[in-house]
Amino acid sequence: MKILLALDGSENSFRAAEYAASIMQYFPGSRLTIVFVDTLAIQIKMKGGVLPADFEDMVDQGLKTSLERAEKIFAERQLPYNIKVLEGYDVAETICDYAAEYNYEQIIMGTRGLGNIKGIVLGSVSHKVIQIAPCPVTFVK
Amino acid sequence: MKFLVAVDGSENSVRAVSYAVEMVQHYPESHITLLYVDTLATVLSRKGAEFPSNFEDVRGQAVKQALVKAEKILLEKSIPFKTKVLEGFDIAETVSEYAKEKGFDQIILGTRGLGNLSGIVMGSVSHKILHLSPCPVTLVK
Repeated sequence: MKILLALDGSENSFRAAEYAASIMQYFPGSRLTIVFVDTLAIQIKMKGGVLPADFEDMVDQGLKTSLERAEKIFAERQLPYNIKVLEGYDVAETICDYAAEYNYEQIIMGTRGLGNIKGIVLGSVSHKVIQIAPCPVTFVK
Repeated sequence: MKFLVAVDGSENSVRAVSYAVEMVQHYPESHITLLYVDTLATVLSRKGAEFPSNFEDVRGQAVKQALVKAEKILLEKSIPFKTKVLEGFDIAETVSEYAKEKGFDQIILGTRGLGNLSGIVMGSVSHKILHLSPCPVTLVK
């Protein structure tokens, strides 16, 4: 099974990583790509903002922390994985386009509950993924 | 691993059953329960509508239609399963509560199938299940 794990650094996305690891143990020969969508650069540019001088460092630092934690989950179980960082404005579209282009059979991602403004915005990512995903999607809380 | 597959007889829910088959064939000691939420009686009574004299026949037909294809797939593959029909008004709440009560590990459902009955927003049932579910949810198109 070809699995795409969408990581965003949230606790739920790390639980999604645990779930992906459990699936891989039962589907021998599975291939996993951890995908991280970096929306920051495009958001700043679209708003006409100027990227701060240390922008790359800021992004890299956040990314590194999240990826290291996710990688550990797979490395500990000796499961193979690739990492892909994609720049995009729309997280759902970026994930789904990538899944479609490279024929992934399963998308796994974290979702957060509703209840605050942030939750509603994040919820809309999962809502959009449901509509446009080319393959089954598993959401983990 | 206990899988709860919510079915409604739509093509998408049939694909959800096929996905569940793939999962149980890989996971040791796993089990499938098919769940159909029968909203007919509660919808009618909430609207204050009169029950037609052949209501039980109509209901029986609806239940049968929702389950027949799903059961056929599982029987053909000789996969043991249980079937559960629950009466309810809100499909998402009924599915999520049942999953919680019985300790299911994963909910699997087809999207664009469930919830079209009332013609509200497509995918609203699956979206609501995502937020109410006590466990990972896989959506299959």
